[in-house]
Amino acid sequence: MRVRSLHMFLALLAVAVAVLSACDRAPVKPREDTPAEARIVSVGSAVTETLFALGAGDAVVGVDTSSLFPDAATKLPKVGYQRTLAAEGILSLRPTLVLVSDEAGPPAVLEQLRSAGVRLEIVGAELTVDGVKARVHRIAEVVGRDPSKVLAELDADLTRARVEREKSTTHPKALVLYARGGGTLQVFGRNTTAETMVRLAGGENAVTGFDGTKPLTPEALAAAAPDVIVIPSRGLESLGGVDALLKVPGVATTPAGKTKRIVPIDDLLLLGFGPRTGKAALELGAKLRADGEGK
Amino acid sequence: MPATAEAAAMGQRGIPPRVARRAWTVPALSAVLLVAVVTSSSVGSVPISLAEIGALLLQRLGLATASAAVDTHAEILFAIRLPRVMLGVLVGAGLGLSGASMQGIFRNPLVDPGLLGISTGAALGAVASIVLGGKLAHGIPPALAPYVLPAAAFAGALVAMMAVERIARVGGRMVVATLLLAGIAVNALASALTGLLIYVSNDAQLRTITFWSLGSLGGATSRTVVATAVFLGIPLLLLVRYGGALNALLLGEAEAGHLGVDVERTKRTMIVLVALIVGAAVAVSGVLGFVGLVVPHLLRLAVGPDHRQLLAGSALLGASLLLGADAVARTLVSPAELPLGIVTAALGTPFFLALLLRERRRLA
Amino acid sequence: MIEALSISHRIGSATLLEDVSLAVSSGEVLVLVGPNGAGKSTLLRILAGEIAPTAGTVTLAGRPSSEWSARKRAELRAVLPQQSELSFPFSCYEVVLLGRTPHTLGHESQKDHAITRLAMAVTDTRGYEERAYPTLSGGERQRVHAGRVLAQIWEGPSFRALLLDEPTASLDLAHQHAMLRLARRMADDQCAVVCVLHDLNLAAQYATTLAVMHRGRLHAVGRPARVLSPRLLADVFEVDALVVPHPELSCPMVVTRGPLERKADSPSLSSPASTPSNESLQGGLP
Repeated sequence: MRVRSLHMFLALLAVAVAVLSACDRAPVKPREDTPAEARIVSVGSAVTETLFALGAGDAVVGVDTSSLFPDAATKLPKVGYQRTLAAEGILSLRPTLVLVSDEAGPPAVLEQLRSAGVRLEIVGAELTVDGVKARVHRIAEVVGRDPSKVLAELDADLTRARVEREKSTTHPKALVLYARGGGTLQVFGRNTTAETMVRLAGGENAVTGFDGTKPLTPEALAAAAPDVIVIPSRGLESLGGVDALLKVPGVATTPAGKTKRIVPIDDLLLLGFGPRTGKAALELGAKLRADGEGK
Repeated sequence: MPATAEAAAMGQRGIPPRVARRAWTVPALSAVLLVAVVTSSSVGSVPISLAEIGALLLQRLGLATASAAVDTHAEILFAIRLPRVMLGVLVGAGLGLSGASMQGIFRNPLVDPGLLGISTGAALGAVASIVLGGKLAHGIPPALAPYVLPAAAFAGALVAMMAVERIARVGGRMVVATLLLAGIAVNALASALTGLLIYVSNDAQLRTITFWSLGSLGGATSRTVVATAVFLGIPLLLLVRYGGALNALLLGEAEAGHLGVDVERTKRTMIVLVALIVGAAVAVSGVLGFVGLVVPHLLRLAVGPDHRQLLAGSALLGASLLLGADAVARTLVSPAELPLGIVTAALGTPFFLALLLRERRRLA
Repeated sequence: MIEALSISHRIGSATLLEDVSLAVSSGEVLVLVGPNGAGKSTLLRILAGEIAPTAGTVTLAGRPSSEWSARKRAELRAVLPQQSELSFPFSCYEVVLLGRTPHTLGHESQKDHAITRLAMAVTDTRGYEERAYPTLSGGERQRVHAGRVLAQIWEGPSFRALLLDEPTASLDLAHQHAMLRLARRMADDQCAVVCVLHDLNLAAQYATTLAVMHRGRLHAVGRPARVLSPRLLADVFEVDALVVPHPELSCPMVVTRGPLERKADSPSLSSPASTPSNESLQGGLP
């Protein structure tokens, strides 16, 4: 009887599985009707920034841990890191819409959300200026807001950034670092968000040897010979500040190290590619040039 | 000796209480698991009362008409929570059972299923799919996307198992000491390859790897449950029958042979079944530490080392404890979730240390 | 009946057994004796099926033992090893109950429990039921295992075989005799018993047949009174001994004077073939 009762239990389990999989064949249709009040769970910093910029911030009831701007977003319930979402936690916020970046996952959880009948929208973006604009359009469309004001502001900032860029005579070679914690530093190579931002700001990426990111090595530093080092400010703090960065092997010998041209910049501003992309280009451009003229 | 008739007449009176009591192990633990299943179906970010669960179940089976239950509850229950609970039952049972089996095969109560390198192999498969998946994803239809990682992890586990089994076989016999060394070697190689993949990964992939390796039952859908029921549930049912053979094996391989156990076949079959279970468990839930180590220990303290009860009991207790840990993981930081591996390790480590200290005192 | 047919066993270039044939029938207690390295344990392990000989066959009840299923073999043949490596905290009762493994399908019947209790009674381990096996002394463990092995072939057909590898090694004098008396009782119950012993007097008292092994060969087989002689003791065991009748029982007794005086060329203990420094050191001794 002893072992048999386990078998019986597992047989029951098998029946339950069968019932469930039968249920699975009739997927629940997403509710199309617009409820009196929209409740949005927003995943991804750019998505959240865009929602707030569009004036839909009041409808946002939960965000992921990367949504750190604006301040109002940080006070909302957190549904976890965007790549390891949990379906139940999101559903407990009774959302009418779950709006996620294309980095959100794992895929199985997105599948669960869909099968639970929640409207799930994935808004990806190419990491270019056009991609940023397209994403603003798309989000505005999904939540039924007018994107023209946000887009106009973005365009204005980008235009100013271009004017500044063209006015400037110097195009400093910038090396963009990312502190991964534990003292390891990553370098942004070609075709990265960081490179796009540096170009918008009127600089050049000092690293041309590879695509994507790679761990920093003293030799790569010497080869890149940057005039200026750009680093997200939270990462710089985790390293222990500018002095600690200058002590990283190889940094002190670069032109940027010799002249101590280290530019910290807000993480989301630099890498977020949200509606503040224009402002980010302006700020980074100003810093690249101001520092250069200061020395 | 020819006094059997008299012996039979003596009846049950002379059976020591511990041996007699043991018959209750599996029924009692089945009851515990039932409670755990019902409770963890009810708790979560969205609490659903037992009455409501009952009503929803009846409704789903067509035995009752629509009830007054909150409409989202049905979807949460059927799309998310029940698959998750069932996955927890399967994975917890698998980990508990494979732990008990490994400790029996190695005749060492401190052995963990991870020892064979199977979980590391599965982890290598999973990490490879995370890091290289983007490049290979073009040919894969989006509907299959959720299954790429589990499939890769399971494949990694199988490759590791075949390597270990091959290395450990010396002249047609599987030598347990060599098995251990083969496990260490495969572990080291798989860890090195995983390290290499981590080195070339980008930041987002790295974070995904980190979170995956912390373990979670969050990806449960009814499809994963069905797949797990096949790849983990069937080996589970086969493995649980080896209790009597394991008891004999604990006396030593020669003695087990004298007691009528086909030692080589038993060892090989059990290793393969353990590998299937561990591989499937890691594939669907990541690395969940300490369940396989702690559960059989706990049970051995309570009911003794008879593996006929220990195997089935470890499966039932493992399932119950994993459901409990998952309920904690789901509710502690709601609406976000703690990685399940953190909860199992946090609960398991103090227990493991206490066992070590006890063992040390005993040997001192 | 258990039978060894022209068994030879080699490992590399070393010959452990050379053309050994032996048959033990129901009711017989065959005791294997011989000096260290004579091949007694190897022969017993081959009879037990633990190792496959390089040549020859072992038959059980007239059929090669490989033709029986593993389970059937276990119903016919039980083996008591010199020691077991059990480290899990089984109670003694559970260890003895393990002997019923070949007879049970998953769980034991009342009969199995009854046999377990009887086997514990005859091995003087009643009262140990609840004790954890790892807490027992060596001799107690040996008796518990004896109980397990008896439980395994407690009853059954008349061609059962019981193999004992130095069953008295860790036992006190009283239990040594009790153990061998049990072996005789099993033989009386139609078992064929094969037992390795070192003590020639115990062997002479309890064996129905004595098999003397020497350098991998069977040197002599027969009733103890016919086999044991001062000549054999000198040739095989290299002892200077008398063989006298037991004052009360009808068995011979071996009384030793000491080791056989060796020939002049045999190495002496006090002068190992060694380095000059050792020799000079010995030169200083009185």
